[in-house]
Amino acid sequence: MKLSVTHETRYEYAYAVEQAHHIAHLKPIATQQQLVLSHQISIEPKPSSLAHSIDSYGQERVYFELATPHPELRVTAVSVVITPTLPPSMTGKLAQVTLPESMPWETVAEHMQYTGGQTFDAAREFAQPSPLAPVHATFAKYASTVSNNAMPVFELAKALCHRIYTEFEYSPEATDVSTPPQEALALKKGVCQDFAQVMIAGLRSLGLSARYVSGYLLTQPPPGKPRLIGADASHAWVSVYCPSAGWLEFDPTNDCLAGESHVTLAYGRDYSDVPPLRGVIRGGGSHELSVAVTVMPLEHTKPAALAAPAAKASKPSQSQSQSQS
Amino acid sequence: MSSLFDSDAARAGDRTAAVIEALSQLAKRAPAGHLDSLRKGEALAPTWRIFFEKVLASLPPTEAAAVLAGEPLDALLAKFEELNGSLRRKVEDNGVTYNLYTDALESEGRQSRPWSLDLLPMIMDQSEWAQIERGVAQRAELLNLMLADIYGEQRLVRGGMLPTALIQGHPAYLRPAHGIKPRGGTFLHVAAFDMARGPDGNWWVMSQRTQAPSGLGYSLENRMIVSRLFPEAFRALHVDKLATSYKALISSLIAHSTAGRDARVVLLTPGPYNETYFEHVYLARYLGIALVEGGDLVVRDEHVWIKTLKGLEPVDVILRRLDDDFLDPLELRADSALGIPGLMQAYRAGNVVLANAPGTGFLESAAILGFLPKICRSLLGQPLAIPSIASWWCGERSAMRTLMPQLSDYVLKPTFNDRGRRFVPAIARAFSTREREQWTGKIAMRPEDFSAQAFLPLSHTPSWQGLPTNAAAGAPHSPIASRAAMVRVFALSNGPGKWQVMPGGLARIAPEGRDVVSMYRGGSSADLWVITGRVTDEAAPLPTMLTPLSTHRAPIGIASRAAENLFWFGRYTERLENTTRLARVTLEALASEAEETPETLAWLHKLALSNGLVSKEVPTPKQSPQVFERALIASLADRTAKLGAYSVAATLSSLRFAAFAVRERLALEQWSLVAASAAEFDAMMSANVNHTTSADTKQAPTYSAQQALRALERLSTNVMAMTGAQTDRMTRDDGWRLLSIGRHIERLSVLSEALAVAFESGAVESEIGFSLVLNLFDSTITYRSRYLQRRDAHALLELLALNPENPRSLAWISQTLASRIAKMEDTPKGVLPTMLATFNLPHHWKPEAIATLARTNDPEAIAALLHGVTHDAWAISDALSQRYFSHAEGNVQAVGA
Repeated sequence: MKLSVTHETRYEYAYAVEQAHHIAHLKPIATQQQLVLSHQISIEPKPSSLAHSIDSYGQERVYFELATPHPELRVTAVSVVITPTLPPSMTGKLAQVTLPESMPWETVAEHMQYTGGQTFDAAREFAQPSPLAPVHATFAKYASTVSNNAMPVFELAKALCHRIYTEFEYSPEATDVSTPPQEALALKKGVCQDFAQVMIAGLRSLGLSARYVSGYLLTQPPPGKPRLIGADASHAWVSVYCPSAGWLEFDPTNDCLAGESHVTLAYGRDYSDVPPLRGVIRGGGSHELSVAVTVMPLEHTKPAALAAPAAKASKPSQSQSQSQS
Repeated sequence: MSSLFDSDAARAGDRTAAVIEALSQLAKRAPAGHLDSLRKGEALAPTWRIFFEKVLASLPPTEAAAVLAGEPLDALLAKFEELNGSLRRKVEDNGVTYNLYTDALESEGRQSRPWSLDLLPMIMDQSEWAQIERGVAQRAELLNLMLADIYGEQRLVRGGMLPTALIQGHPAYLRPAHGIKPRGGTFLHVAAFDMARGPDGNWWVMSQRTQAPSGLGYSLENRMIVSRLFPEAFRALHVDKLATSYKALISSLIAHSTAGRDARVVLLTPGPYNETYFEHVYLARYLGIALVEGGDLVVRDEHVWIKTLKGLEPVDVILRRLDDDFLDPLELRADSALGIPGLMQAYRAGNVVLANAPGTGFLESAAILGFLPKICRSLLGQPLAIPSIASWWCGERSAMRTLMPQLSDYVLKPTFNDRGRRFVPAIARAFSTREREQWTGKIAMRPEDFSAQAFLPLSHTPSWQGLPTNAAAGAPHSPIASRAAMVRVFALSNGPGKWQVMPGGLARIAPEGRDVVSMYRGGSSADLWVITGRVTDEAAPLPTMLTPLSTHRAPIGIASRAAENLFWFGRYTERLENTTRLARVTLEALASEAEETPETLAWLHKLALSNGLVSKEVPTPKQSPQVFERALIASLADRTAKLGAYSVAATLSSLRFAAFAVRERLALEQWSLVAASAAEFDAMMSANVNHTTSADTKQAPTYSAQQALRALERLSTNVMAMTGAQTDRMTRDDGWRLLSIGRHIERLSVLSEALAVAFESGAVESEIGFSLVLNLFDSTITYRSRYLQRRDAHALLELLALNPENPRSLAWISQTLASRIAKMEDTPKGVLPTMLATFNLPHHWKPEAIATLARTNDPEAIAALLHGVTHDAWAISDALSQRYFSHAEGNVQAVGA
């Protein structure tokens, strides 16, 4: 599906920020499945220095500095992509989905271990613990509740994904971007990032390989209602690996596979590898952060100008967060 | 020893041999199964024979003759003991610490320890060193090539020679560093290797330190101290010098920078709370480079700059002692307050040399060692020149299965160093059955997290224990013990692709009966004497003092943080002088025969309160002179201000802390003086405590006023030496100016207030009060010579407020302050001079106006004028902080979306 994404991030500071350094991961990744037709990023005020670089996964990042006092920062990324369409057997709620064949999960876990002179598999990196998706007995125990002997790895992922979807309460207030998944698991609450990281940690704790996907989701307006501009948010889901079959993407927030409504920004081990915008500022006091995301199908609707941001979150001075669905 | 006759010489030689033999008999032997480096077979090793002969030869002729004539070895042993005393004093004078000695740490229950250094060096002969030198240089090259591969093509992982779990799975592998090629391809500029010698005499690499290894400063300090104690032996053994290596390191760092010969190099430290801060200061000073903290640096336009008093100046090379995680809150740990936002990007852009490059820490894992033999053959086409101790990574299941049955020959070590997974290495042969089961269970759960290294019985080196203090004490005491030891050897970059191995390093000695060596766990250190056979210049002078290596680099202006520390160093010096004087004046007044007027007592009380001599809970001297005096004396010695008053000892602690922070700009003697004064005051005050002998423990210790006065007098003398050194021994740069400004601001605020209160309280009305005021201003003699027995407000104000020649008059102080500030400001319309111009400072006061004011006999009006000066002094201090000091810029915070 051809989709346009407009992602606007705005910081309003209590006092002018004297100096700021930021890094943005806002360009959708081009893959065999996803085509990127266009992408622009605009930053106001104009950065005093800006540099593009490629991260260790081959994805583009933008570094920029603001060296003069500024009371506000606005970063807008506009992209047009074509997302892949899944076969009908793989769309809809997980319960109705037919998965591709995959190996028994124990075989996959063994494949992830090291033996001298083994052939290389890049997916092994994503079987390793990471800061926000660690390996721990708690996660292993949680994931074991849905696993059986010799269960195909994708079936295991599906069961875990469904379990998180049914068991966890969606609650933007419960967590923030730095909440460790141990905490989210204990609360059984959180947003897409927490759901994804709990699922990844569960799979990794069984010795399996799973990665974090940062992106967007096209939401369907209620029948008869117009699409609300800026009402969408960043999204996150999970990509699971099987040596014979490759990667398959599960969305524990929506109990489905990632399909044509999912726009992929970047892959990482967890959120901390690919935050859309990360910065360190000097001065500024407290700040208000507003994020507005609009995902629009281009065949049906003309891209519209941005309306007022949907949500404003006033935050205390220390940091951060945004709502993610 | 000279002799006319060969036979005499031969006989003397025989006797020398006999003495040395006796000494050797006295020295403890290494336990069975450990190599004894003092001996070769049964005899003393040749190097040690020469060493002891030279010490013997350094005895005074009569004592040497006595020992040689067959007397007991007492004189020789006494010589060692005397040298050991010199060593202790030197360590103390230099303030060498492992943990920083601060009261802040102490009050948290943490103890700083003086650096522990053995009198006897560890000596390594030519053949041993040749093996080590070659092996260490090869390893540095190998590790550097591995880093180039891991942060580039990753063929080692792709080819299955290194497990993904040990690279991408290691928290110290930094993804933001991936794809960055440092200039010259040099990732490592300082690599350290901990080496140990087994029973068969072979050396093994026990661990590798690649991130920001410590020890280069301590090695130098050990050498400076120990080589001076044994100058003859040091020369006779042709011990190789260290200075060349440090010089080569600096040259190499500069050679790696695009800035060429003008490259500016800084040493980045985590700050005074770091356990090895001492050596950061020491090393920066020796290398002649600026010591900076993260807050001193800023990234602009992808370049690194240092904030100085004159604005931003470029930085080209950062020799860093800050760990990877903390380097850049933008790309690494977001919660790091120690780092520099944007540093990774400056490094990526090739605009700064980071020594070492970020992301080298994964090579420190014990698990890596087992993979090196194959990698070495693959990358260098040769076998490892010096082997690692047998090491296994349990993550390789076949290795784990081989290991398990023979676990008791191994030491378990953590593969990863992060909080959740690290543990204290465990010696498996000491396990109980239960412990063994527990460990086996843990390993099976997550084998990747565990590594095992063969247990190596370490070689022993002699260690000076001192003479027995109590002859009756049980076990036979030997002054020379035998201790397990390891050495830390450094490979330093020597231009792109080249390495030099420093001929020396840090020998580390295990505590008695222990086989694990760690400075952290109570070990000691020794100077490592390496005999390379290359030293030809025997006449070359020994290093006698720490003189910075000659620099041809552009000097860096005074960093804002250093400036702030100098300012506070000045303020605390002056505060110490003022509180000491005030305490003396007060104690003397209370002790004097003459009856104090209530006004005088009120004045003294108010000053005691505002200068922190007593807390406000203490009764006034009018209510109870004894209680007041006791409280005042008790507070004098109270370093942590737990009695509620920030008095002399507390000020001394702050001064010592400030001096420590600016150490790299002070002559060693200045620092020693501060440290020694604090120690002496402490000692004199605590000698003075009369602990109550009764059972009533509630009673506070009592002090004698006379003793306290003696301690204060002694301290006054020391303070004079400090201020003298500040006036006479420091270059008049902006840093010194800030120190001086700090002193004058402090003096202006304290004295203007003292004088204001003297008028306000009416203390000046009485003869005693009047003379106490003069005494406090240190102006009694001048006053008497000018005004004889006259006693009036006008004369007092003339001398203490208006006189332009009395260095303790307010006009003199404010005049000096204003002129120092005027010199500081490089901008034509400086903020501070403009501000100063709006103040009514004493050097602008008109004598006629003051005369009129004095005649009106209105103490309130006089006091109001003087209080205004106190407030101005505070305002100047605030404005100065705003203008010059980096912290004024506001806090750093992380934001994310």
